[in-house]
Amino acid sequence: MRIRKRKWRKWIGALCAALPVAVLGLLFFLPIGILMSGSIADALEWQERLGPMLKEGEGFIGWRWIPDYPTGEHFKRLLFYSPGFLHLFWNSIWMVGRILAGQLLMGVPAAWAFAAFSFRGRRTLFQLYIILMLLPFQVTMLSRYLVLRELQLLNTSSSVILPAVFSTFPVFLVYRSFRGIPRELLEAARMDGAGELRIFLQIGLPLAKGGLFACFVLSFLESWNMMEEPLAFLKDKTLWPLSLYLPEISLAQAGFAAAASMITLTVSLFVFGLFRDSLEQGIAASGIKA
Amino acid sequence: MRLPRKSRFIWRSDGFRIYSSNRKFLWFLLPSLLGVSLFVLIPFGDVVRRSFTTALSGEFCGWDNYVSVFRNQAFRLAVKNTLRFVGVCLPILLVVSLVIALAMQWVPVLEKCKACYLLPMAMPAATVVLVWKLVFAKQGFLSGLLGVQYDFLAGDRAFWVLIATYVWKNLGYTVVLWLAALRTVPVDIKEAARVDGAGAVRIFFHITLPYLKGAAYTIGLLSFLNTFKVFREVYLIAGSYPGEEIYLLQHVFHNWYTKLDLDKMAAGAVLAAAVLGAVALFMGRLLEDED
Amino acid sequence: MQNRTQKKIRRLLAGMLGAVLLLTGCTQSQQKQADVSQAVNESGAQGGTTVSTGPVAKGRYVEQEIPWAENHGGNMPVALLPKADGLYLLDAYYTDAEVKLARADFSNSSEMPQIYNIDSATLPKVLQDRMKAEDYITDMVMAENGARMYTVFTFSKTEEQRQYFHDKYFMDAEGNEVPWDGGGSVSREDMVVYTYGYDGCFYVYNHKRDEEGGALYRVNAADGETKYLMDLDFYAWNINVFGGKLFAGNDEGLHIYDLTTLQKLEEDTGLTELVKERLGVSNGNYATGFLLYPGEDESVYVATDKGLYRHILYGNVSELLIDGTLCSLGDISKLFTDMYVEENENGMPVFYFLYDNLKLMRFSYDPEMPSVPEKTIHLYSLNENSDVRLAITAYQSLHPEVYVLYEVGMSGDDGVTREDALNSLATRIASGEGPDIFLMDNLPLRSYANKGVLMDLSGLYGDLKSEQQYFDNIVSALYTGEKLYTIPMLFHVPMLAGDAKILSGITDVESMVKAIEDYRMPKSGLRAGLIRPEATLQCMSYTHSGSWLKQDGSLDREALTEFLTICKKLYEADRADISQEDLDYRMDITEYTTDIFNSHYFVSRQMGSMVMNRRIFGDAFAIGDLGGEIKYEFNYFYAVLKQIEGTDYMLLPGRGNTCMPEAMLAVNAATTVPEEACAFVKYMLSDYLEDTELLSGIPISRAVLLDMEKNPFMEENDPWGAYSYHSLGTPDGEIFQTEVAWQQENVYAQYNKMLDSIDSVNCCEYELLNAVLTGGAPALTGEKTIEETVDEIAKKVQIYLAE
Repeated sequence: MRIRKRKWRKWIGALCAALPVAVLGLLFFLPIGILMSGSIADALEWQERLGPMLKEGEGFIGWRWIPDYPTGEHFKRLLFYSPGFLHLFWNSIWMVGRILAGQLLMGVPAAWAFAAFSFRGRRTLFQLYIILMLLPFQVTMLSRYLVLRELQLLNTSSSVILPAVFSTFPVFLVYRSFRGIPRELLEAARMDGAGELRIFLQIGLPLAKGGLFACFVLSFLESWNMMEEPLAFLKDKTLWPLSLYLPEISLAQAGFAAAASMITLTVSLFVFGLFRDSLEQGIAASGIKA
Repeated sequence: MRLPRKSRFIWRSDGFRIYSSNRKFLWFLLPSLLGVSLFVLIPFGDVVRRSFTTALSGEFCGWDNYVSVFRNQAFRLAVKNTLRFVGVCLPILLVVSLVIALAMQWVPVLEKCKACYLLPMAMPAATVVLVWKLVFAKQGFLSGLLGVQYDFLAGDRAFWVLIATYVWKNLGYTVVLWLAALRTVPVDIKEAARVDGAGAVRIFFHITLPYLKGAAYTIGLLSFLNTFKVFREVYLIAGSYPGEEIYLLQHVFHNWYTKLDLDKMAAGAVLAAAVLGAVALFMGRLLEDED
Repeated sequence: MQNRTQKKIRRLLAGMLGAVLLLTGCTQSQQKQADVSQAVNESGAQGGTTVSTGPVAKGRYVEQEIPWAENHGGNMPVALLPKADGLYLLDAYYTDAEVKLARADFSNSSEMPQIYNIDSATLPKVLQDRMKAEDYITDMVMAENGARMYTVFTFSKTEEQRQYFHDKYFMDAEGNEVPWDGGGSVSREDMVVYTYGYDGCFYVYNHKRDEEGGALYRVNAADGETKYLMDLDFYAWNINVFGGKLFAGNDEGLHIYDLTTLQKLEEDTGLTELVKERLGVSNGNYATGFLLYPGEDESVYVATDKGLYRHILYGNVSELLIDGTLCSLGDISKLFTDMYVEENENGMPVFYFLYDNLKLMRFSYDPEMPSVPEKTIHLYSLNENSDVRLAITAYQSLHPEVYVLYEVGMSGDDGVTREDALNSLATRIASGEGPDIFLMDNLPLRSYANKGVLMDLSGLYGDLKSEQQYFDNIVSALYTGEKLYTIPMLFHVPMLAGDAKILSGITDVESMVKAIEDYRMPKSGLRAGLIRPEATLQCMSYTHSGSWLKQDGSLDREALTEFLTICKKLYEADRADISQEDLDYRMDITEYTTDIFNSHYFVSRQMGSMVMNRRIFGDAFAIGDLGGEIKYEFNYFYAVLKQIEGTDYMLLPGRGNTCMPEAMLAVNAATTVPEEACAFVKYMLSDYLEDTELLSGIPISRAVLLDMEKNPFMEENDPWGAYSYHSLGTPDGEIFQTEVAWQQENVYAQYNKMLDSIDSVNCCEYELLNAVLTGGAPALTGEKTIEETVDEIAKKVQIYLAE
């Protein structure tokens, strides 16, 4: 009897824990649900729903999760009749790809340097990296503008890509996972005569895979949704990334905007989907003990 | 034992000998260092310089800018608001996410929910604003649910909308990171403690928590960084002059810049950077593993 | 197990992602084709360099106006006709049938070419007879051999209905006139469009009145033989025929037909790209927004407001020969009537353009002229200002050695907010790349002045003053101490109109409010026609907004409270006598917008319309300003006002006698081209205004205003008679007819006296004005008390002022 009671209590406990989490999860999903259902509702239906809001009346916005007349017209218009959209989409992909590649080449080795070595001023330098990471964009915008102008990079995509490549954010993120690699492993490898590069490539990178993926995903999201930098440094609209396609979303074009947002979101979700497992498994794996 | 070439041994204070090749790290660090200096450090240096000169003419003016920034009411308001915001949202986020992570660890099936929590992070700011307008406006969904016309985006309540936005966006990866960190806690030690009769709470505070210190540092700093990112949404919803309660540091900087008050902006930025740096350092000392 | 399915899912996702990327990449390359000509268009407007032949450092087309030797008596040149002995202009006069020829004489190359009228006695007799009979010829086309086709318009007035006839005629080279009816299939009522095909034939397109489409005919110019060609399925203002092809443009696009095979050819995307913005533009008859002219080797010359291009038919690339932004081609207030290209041996033909404002321009290539002007003046304004655009085009024609680049911060179609625009402007100024001239409308004038961004213009103004007369009372109100940072090109004056007796008792705001409060409407209606609270706020902000800030820059709460109190009184007084029904009706029919970007802060409050409201709805007072086309607007306003006995107008009382400036010019203190910038500013404040028809406010230059007050109809039979008629119906069913005539001196004298009494200028900070206008309404309607509202506004603005 006592055993049954304990099991029963365990179940109740589990339920008490599970329910709020699940409900919260659903709540979190709601906005995206709104977006999804909004993107397949046609313009007329939007007007209907938003009626009370636009008229400043007494009512509330009505909503149907599945619209009365679901339509792909927004997506169609977006994908086939808005050459600007596809062009910017491609811009984004290209830009983000280059940023991530650059961060891999520049930032990850730097994190390794901080994590796997000891040298004078390591701490201070790393603290500096962190402080630089925390600065809001507005503050350094003008100074960066001047530097980019000196380098004649203004109005080219490099003006956005290069500063992002050298952002200290990925360094900080990957540092953590590199830190998790046990020193003894590195020691042993060095004793065995392995060169630093080999150690980095064959021990460091594989063991920190999770952290790398986590950094990759976060970096991707950061670059994919970046708005201030292209606005400030790219005058030529044909170079703009997708995030600037609808910087000011008015409710008048809500359906269209929702569809555009869905597509922007979908790419991010793809990336999520591809790397989700490695993300967690890897993070966990980086904490192995000897 | 073969001695590697070009080596130098350092004796640590605790008697262990570690190997340090003083040159090799440069290969890894240099490209980043160069790039960071060029694109991040030098601009910041320029900002520091500007904090000591007048806006457009460039004349040196000593501490004048700092003084005027200190005295500036708008700046003070912004600092107060920002501190209040960070002071509220950061603990909420960290605690709630930790609790959820624990719950997920306890009831493994919940891990499927992770996707829901991660989704908000991917939403671009403009989209969030669009949906928020629908949800929080006077005639929006939330009002409809409550049956009362209540404009959540105005005045005091906007602050809580902001907190909600922040938590909503950042809960996902925080939970993931906590979960990963939780997995590093050795199960056998916990098991041993349980067998010895320790309750779940004691186990948590005395065994689990210390193992989470390192993760807490990363997560904390990351979340701290993300508190600044929330400016984008605020700006898109409420413009340059939102209500008094959500007027943040970045608003001040932004507006000063527009009015060409570059000197004040620079001084304010340097002050802010100093404080941020101090906070980060403090967190580091508190939580980071020494090595 | 789980791992495998997960791996599969991942591979699937990766595959889909890859497919999507590939897809977008493919469509991308297709887009590139169409984008090329688009890109060409864009780049063309920026540098004036040719695209296909590579940039040339020297050599540019220079413009020259060929003036009329004598007054050509109001004819409308409708076509250019190159003949062996010169370039002829075909004139057709509208209300009388004067058909003339004029000739641009280039025979004597050392003299300035001019256009001479040709004696009408040289016209064919038939036409002379028609002229004597005062027949109304609406359209004419002439061939090289002298044959013509034309339409004579007549109408018959019967009791029941009017019938309109367009009788078409063919006249051969000897002057024999023959009625033309397309071989029997074209009726008298049909309207046709003519063109000459440069192949010895006329082409006539008969579009059916109520259908989309018509029939195309070819008429041999030698003998008048008509041949029906084909049916077309669209409506077109005009058609062009050359190279065996028909080109016809309408709102839908540019259609091309092959006339030998009588087939529709596919669209020439490059060509359509060039003209698409001007396709539907026309004056309804002979003038259009773009022109085509055949060139050699399957090329066509295309003239639009962006410039003159040579386009290879169905090619991808168009060569920009003349940059529209540097000459009169870019002036969109003028339409093209006709053009002629004189090919040259050296490959750079001479171009002639005939505009609908009767000007003939000739463009010839000067190899010594630098192809891009050496100096560039950047002009920046937050919102598009059409007056400035006109000024630029005019100035460019006079000064081809300078390039004026007009940049608009918020073009309105790409979601850029005011803050974004200000931000990028701040970046540019701070980095030394700021524009040379600012239009300070809606820009932070105080901040810029304080930071030393703006140049002191008092010297410039001194120069101007010595040459012309200005409204000094207004300009001097803009001085900050000794310095003058901005001078407005135009200004608006808020006015109050009503019963003369009552008005004479009004001296200030309080007495005005009292007068409105004391008035009793004879029937249900609004007293001041203000209708909405926002309108009241706007009207009063005109005269009060300058007082809301104290000297030290902080908010003057008393002034604000007083302002809201006055507004509230006005608002309540306005609608004290109106029934709810009538009020709803008035609100329904009145459009309102809170767009305060309209530089004179008033939208749809043009005095003429406001006073009309007095007539139609019986409002006692009217408050508004004189909007655009100052010349005619005032006459209209005055005419409507005087239709009711005993009415008068005055300056709207407020805190002092105020006006609202518009198009406030300022020069960047750090400009690299100070002389050129100042010269341009001087020009904008003086000369050009005389020529333009489209000013949207009162010019700051007195001389220009005086010029505008001169009656343009002096040459007519009855210069002081009505030149325009307006009819409006009231909801009760009455119809009001207003005859608008040009006013006499004394009327303008009173108006000028009012303008002279202005002694202050109201330009309020944008944020403050915005806060008051958007937040003030609840105070008026009673939702909130005035104190609460002032508190709210103060809160909003406090931060702004504290920064």
